[in-house]
Amino acid sequence: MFSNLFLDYLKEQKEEYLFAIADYGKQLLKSNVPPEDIAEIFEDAILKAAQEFPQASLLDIAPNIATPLSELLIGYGLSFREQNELKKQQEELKEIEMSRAKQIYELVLQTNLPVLSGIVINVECIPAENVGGDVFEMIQLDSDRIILFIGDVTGHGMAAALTANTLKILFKDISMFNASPAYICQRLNQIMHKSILPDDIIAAFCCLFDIKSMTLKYCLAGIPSPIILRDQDKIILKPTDIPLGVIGDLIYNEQTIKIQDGDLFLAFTDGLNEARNKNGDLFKYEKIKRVLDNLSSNVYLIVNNLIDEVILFQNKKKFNDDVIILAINFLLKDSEFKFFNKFSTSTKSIFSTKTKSLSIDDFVLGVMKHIQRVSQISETNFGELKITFSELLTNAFEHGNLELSEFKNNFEIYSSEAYQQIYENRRNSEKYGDRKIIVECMFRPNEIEISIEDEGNGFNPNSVEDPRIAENRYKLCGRGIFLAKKYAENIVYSQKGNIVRLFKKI
Amino acid sequence: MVTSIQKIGGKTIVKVHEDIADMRTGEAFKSTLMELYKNGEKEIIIDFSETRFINSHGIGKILMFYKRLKEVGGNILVTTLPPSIKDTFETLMLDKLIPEVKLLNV
Repeated sequence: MFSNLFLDYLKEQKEEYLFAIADYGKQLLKSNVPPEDIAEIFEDAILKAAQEFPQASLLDIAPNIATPLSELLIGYGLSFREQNELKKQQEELKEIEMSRAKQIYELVLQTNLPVLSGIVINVECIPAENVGGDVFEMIQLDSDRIILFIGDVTGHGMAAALTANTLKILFKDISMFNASPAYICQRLNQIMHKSILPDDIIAAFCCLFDIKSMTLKYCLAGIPSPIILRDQDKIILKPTDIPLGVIGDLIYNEQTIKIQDGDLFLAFTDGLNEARNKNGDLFKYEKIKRVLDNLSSNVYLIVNNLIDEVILFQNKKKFNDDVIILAINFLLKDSEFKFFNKFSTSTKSIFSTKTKSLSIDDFVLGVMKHIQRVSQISETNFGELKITFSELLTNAFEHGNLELSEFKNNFEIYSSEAYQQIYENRRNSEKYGDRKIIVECMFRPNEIEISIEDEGNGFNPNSVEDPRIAENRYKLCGRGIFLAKKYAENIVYSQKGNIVRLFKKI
Repeated sequence: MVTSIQKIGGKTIVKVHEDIADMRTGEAFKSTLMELYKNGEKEIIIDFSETRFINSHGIGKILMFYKRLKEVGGNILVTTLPPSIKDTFETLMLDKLIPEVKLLNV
């Protein structure tokens, strides 16, 4: 009791009483006694002192009252500070853990989209929180077949991400041995129903595209019906089964439907149609169908516009649930068609294409438009980034994948029509034309990192001479890297020289 | 209050008063069903007439008790589904597992 210690101290001013009082103050905080109750404790102690020394005047005891009272408060305050620091440390630890979990989830989501001539793919993943329960994978099985999996685990956050991770690994494994969507879902269901909580379910869509027979075979278990846009028509895929994880020994089914050149295939998770505004109204599947009537059949625009529509409806940028949107356009007949695939998460976007399908201008424009959409880059930095990026992309294309360096350095050839011929031949050849270019953009709070990877033989960046030196001024090339370096914060080449990373502040 | 309970004959009707849209409503919904299950109720009908929306969390809870009740020879049914919940049930093909009944026929 404080009043006893207080009286003891008033009688004989020993230091040990003060220590005991400070300890008592610490105990008060630990027992969650609120600060306002301390006033009462003081009152009580002073009252007791007045009764104990009825003869004493305030003047007599005043000098000794302040010390024990403040000692109690100091003990209380110190303990409060300790508690706060502990809490802060715990929060910091939690933040580090969350940020690591986020990085892992990004890896779970991330995939290298297949790059096939005439198939344009655009995927956008928007997690509701740092980590989520939606999962996506797309694998090229052979020259004609692609298999796709979209999963949506109940809820979001860490628990859902854990299941999503398992799901993705299992899908990759199972699809290697058997590419039947029904078999894959059935197998996933058998395994997963034992490894999820009893009140969790997994909505799934597994789809096998075959561009030789122009068919798609699918198993649809709980993901909103994907839609095929064909001319003015909409073909809605019908569900085949109930979600995974509900009944362990269920037989899953598959449907086969024809696809046509020109088809635009669209799939999304329910975070899109179940987006709600502040009145609690749903965006609804029907509205998505209506919105599609007015959208162009361009895979990039359709996804962006759909997201913009929902953001407008819910009147906020952040989604309540995870969203994955996938758009695929089949343009197999047009062999000259130039395109790139895009896979995007909240912090990273990956663009990929084959050399023969690459139009430098369209690619640069596409990447730059995306950067403008997702980052807050200033106009100046945007302009400089564009210069740097297009220089380095051109290098990856011409020097890397097409291996044109020797011809570009030879004035005779470079200035003649022969160069154009070599350029076209290589670009349309299997050896050079099928080589991929992969561009990854990573978005950080203050900077953007872009890596450009080609499949050429690489080079030694130190061998490129300074174009400003007199003897180099008239050389046909060697200015790209110089310009790129000028406008980027930093440029780093991989050891082989076929990957370049550029860093630019935003 | 997320749910209320009414007994008609041997059947228990769980009326849902709020959208099952987040963790709070989901857990409240689950604990109601859990209570009924523990009390040995075998015929449960969920009445969605006052609700507009149920998320996959909520669906998961229904399925959990679907399984539990099946084990003990019981049954879970739904009634008066608003269009959006009907949609969800159809997308998930749950209409085959957990049929909708008319309250009058109970």
